[in-house]
Amino acid sequence: MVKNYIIVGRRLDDDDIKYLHGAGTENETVDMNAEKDGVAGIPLTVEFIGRTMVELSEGERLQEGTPEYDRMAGLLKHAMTVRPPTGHDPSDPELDRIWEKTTIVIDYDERVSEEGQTDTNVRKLVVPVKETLAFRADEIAAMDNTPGFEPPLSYELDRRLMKAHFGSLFHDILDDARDSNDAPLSDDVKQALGKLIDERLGSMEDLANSADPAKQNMYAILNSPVSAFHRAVGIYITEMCN
Amino acid sequence: MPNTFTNNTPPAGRAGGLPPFDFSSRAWRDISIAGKEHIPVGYTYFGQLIGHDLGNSTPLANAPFARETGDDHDYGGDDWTRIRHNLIENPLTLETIYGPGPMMLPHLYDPNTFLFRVKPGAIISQPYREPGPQGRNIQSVRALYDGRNRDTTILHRLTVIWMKFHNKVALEIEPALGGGGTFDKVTKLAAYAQARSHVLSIWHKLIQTEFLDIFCDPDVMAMTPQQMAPFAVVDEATLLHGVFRTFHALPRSEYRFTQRHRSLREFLLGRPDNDEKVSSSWKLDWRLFFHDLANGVPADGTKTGLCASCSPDLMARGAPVLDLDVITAQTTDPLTLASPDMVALIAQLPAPWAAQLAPDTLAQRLSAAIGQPVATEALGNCPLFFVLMLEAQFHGRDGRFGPLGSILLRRAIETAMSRTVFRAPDPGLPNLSKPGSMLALISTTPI
Repeated sequence: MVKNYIIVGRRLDDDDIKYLHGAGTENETVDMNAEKDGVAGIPLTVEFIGRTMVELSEGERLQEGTPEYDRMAGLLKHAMTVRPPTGHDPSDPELDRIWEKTTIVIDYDERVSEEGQTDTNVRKLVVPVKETLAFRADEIAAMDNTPGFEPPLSYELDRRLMKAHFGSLFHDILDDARDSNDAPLSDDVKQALGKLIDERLGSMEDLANSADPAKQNMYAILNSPVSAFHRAVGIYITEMCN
Repeated sequence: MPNTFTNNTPPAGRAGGLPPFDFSSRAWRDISIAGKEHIPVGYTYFGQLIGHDLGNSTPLANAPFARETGDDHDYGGDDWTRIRHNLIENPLTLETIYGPGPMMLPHLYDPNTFLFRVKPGAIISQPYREPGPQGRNIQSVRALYDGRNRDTTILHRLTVIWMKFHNKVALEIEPALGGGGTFDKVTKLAAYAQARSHVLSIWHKLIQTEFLDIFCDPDVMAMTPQQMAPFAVVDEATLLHGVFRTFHALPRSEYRFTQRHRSLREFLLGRPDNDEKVSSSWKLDWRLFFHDLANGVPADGTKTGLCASCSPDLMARGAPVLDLDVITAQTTDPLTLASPDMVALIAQLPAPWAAQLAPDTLAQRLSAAIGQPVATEALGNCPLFFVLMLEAQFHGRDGRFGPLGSILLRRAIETAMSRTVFRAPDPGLPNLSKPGSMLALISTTPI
């Protein structure tokens, strides 16, 4: 029944995140428990996909049909989810059935470099399934052609990343602001405005203090440029259909 | 920190470690809700839907109206803005869902089927998209009758479940009515009317057997109709702005949706044009929100209860929601503890209940609990919901209202339901879906 779905990398704030335990060992498992035997699992999200891409790009090509290839494609599949359009029931069991019948293919761009020769490249661009981009394009076309629209591919965590990035700017603005009598804002007003900004854009404290493992992982990404980079790679590589 | 503020616990002063007295502070909230967390959080939104179905009061000055025969009131006087008109004309008839029906609301009902416009698989109503200022999509124009039912994603989802349930019942009825052609207006309209009556009967049943039972004191629920009859039914302003505001104690800062917790702030829709793209993508396990009465399985999720505080995350227009409630309590003029009608009503209560509501007794109890003096007059004249919150805090059982709140709520709701006139089931109808609980109703609505 569900139409117009996309198959994309899982985000940290998605439901049903799967975790990898005992990575690379004989006891490697994937399940929905954030911890196993007291050890935190690796969340299989876009960050995992991005980190995996970075690692794969450094190693030898995995050959299709080998156990290594199957393991990696399987893990990447666990990091993918079937996302319905806004408003469709995210508990629709058909989404799980679609995921089951999904195959992940890992492919490689190619570069041949020979001394004294111009490089030869094969750059593979994957064309998404019919109508997936058109669906999103229709949605986005409904917005005005003026600055201020919601940027495509902007998620909860991006908003918080940008907020943290502009943190000192917000602080300076509140410090420089003057009221109608040209007097600096009182500490109370500054505090109230800061609170309002936190409420609208999300506060670091909320993430740091949450018992929710996903929120703790968000907090970790906000503190780690490398994790944020992996996440960005994972998003751009899996969300072209979006 | 010792809890000195809950039911039947001897109160201690500030020396006992209480935070400053502020209904909306996080520290006070933590103290007051401790021990009250017995009610699954879904009932918060069940209650909100009932509140919306009871009324939407607006000053008469804001709503042209037709005088009733014999009404010679001078509406040009100073009280013009104080007299209220209820925009819900037929309380507790599910008008908040149906409005005036398919003949008048083409955006809400498909004109060819007279069914609600709910897409298959949808959990919220569909937005009509239109570019707004600065590229913002206007999301507020939806296939919903009452825009208030988008206040939170949870309420929005519940609303759509009732719409889906109507469509299901209408489709169960239609074949039995015969009719011909692909679109037979008479048949479709008859199916709509029959289905609405049936859905309404389920709504009343769930309010009576599930909602009142969860929020009213068991001793009040055990009272016979004859014992309830002497208690006056409070007016609409008192019910909405005095009694129902007490439910603002219920929203929690964080909810368990599935294995994930979601914060209230993230699904509270502060503005009508906010979209719900993120929060509507969350999985929500309703078994965490409502008891499974049919199978005797209690809800296993976040719990809440009535108490003398409000989540600091429950904000409206940038301010704690109770601040706004105080303003509306001033402008709508509901009864207070000191109003003669309320004094008379309390005098009819069994003596122990009446005694604990005497303003000086309540003031002493509160004063002892917060470690600072409380003026008796202040309690007598403050908004009624503050008094009902205090009563629930001191005398409510398992997160319920205390005796006065229970009587006011039960009496008003049962009276409103008893006033409803609706079409009895026509003979010859098939067996229609009859869910016996909110959770069963949710389960019967298809994906």
